[in-house]
Amino acid sequence: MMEMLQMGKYGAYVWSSYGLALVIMGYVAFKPVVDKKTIFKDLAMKYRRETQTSKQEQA
Amino acid sequence: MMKAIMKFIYQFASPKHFYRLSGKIIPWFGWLAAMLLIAGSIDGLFIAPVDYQQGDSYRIIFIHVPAAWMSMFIYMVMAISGAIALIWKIKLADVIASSSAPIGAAFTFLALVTGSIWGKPMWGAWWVWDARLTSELILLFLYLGYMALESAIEDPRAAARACAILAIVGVINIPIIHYSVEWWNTLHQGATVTKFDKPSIDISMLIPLLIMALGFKLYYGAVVLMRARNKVLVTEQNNRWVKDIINH
Amino acid sequence: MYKAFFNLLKRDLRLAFRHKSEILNPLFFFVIVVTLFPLGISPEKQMLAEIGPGIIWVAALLAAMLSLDSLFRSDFEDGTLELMLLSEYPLSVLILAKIVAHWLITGFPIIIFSPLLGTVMFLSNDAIETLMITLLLGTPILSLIGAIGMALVVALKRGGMLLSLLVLPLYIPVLIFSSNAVGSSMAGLSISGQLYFLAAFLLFSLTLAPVAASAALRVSLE
Repeated sequence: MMEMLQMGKYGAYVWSSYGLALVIMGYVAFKPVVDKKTIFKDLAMKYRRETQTSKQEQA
Repeated sequence: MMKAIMKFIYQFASPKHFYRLSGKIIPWFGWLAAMLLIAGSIDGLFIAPVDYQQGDSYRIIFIHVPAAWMSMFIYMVMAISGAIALIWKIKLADVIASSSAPIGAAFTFLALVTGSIWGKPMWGAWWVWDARLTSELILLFLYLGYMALESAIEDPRAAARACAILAIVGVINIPIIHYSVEWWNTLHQGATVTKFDKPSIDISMLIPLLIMALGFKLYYGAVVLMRARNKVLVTEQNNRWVKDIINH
Repeated sequence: MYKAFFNLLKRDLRLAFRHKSEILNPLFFFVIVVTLFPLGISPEKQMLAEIGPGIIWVAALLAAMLSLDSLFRSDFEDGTLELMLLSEYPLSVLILAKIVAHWLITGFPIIIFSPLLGTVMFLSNDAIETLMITLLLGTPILSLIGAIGMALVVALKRGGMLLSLLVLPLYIPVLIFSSNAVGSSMAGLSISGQLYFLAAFLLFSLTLAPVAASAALRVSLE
């Protein structure tokens, strides 16, 4: 098992490549998920403010 | 007939419709991509046989080559959707183009770094002016220029159109740049020996490569749709349907 | 249409001759940059002859890029560009006139002065001849491609740095083939392949760049 992970003498190179791919692609994939949450929160707040001000104007 | 097709396209490309449809597509693309990437990595890391010349280090190409393919592919997507946006005034095409740029740049960067990691044991140096690495570096410059132009122009519509023109000019130039770099590299062959392009690749190595390539494509599809959806929400925030989605 | 083309060309040239710095500054820049290299690296003849072609070409590239600002900037600021947009003549033809003028103002002096720099860098006579031919074929390409980039950034306040980011990657093929042609003729090799490439690239950008630049200008002026 250890032998397999060591990849001959190239373990560090191979694993760092796959690790880097995981980090970069993971970041790129999760960024929009996080963005979406903030957009939802911001927009919800904005709409609430808008309805409040329109109600006040009516009153 | 043509009219009907265009009508269908405009309808499909309407922000509301796009938002709904892409919401259904993303999970499929995402989960399929995850499965393919995991399967491809396991195959590439453990099952594919050891290369008799390069030992296990060649396993990096299962990341490097698909990433390099994607870097070209995404730039082409940007140019094509830029052209579509310029000709038919389909706003969605602009959104797709600008959502693609950072993903393409990330793949280009990944291809560059993995290429250099792969080169270290092969060439004994972190960087060699190999034709493919050099082309990839220039492509990264093109991506950075695109993103810099986009962020420099304040009006988003003008930015999108300027970027579309830049991407089209870039995509016309890429083959010329590629050809000249290849030509330049063969002249200075003494310095490097390219081992990326093997004339024949064994089928047991080809399968994980293709699985990874497909996984990368689906991954891009899922991520670009997610990014595009976010942009659509922000630009359409004053429309009824967005309010309904948010307040739901 | 020809009349409009030549009138605009004449106007731009006349304006440039009135502000001589527009002609002289890129040229000085070109000469100074080349002079820096013997000082920074070594005045040895062999070394300079080897790196000379590349250095002269990189300097020409930078001089061409830095001079691009004069292509559209002043016309943008005084509103001439907007008038060009409204004119009855095709915008790409007018832009081509401006590009030709820009090349005559900035590229041509560089070609005239290049033998001097070739001598300073210890290039052989054949190589100097090739240097002039490559500059003759290559600098118009730089003006043409540069016009696209300049048209994209002309409305931006701080476009200079951005312009180099957009334009320099596209200049790479010209650099590769030109400096290689000069180096090859130093070594006594045939250079027809490189020159054919440059000629083809010139024709290609001559047909497409004015169109792309006018599209970009329309976006910038909106």
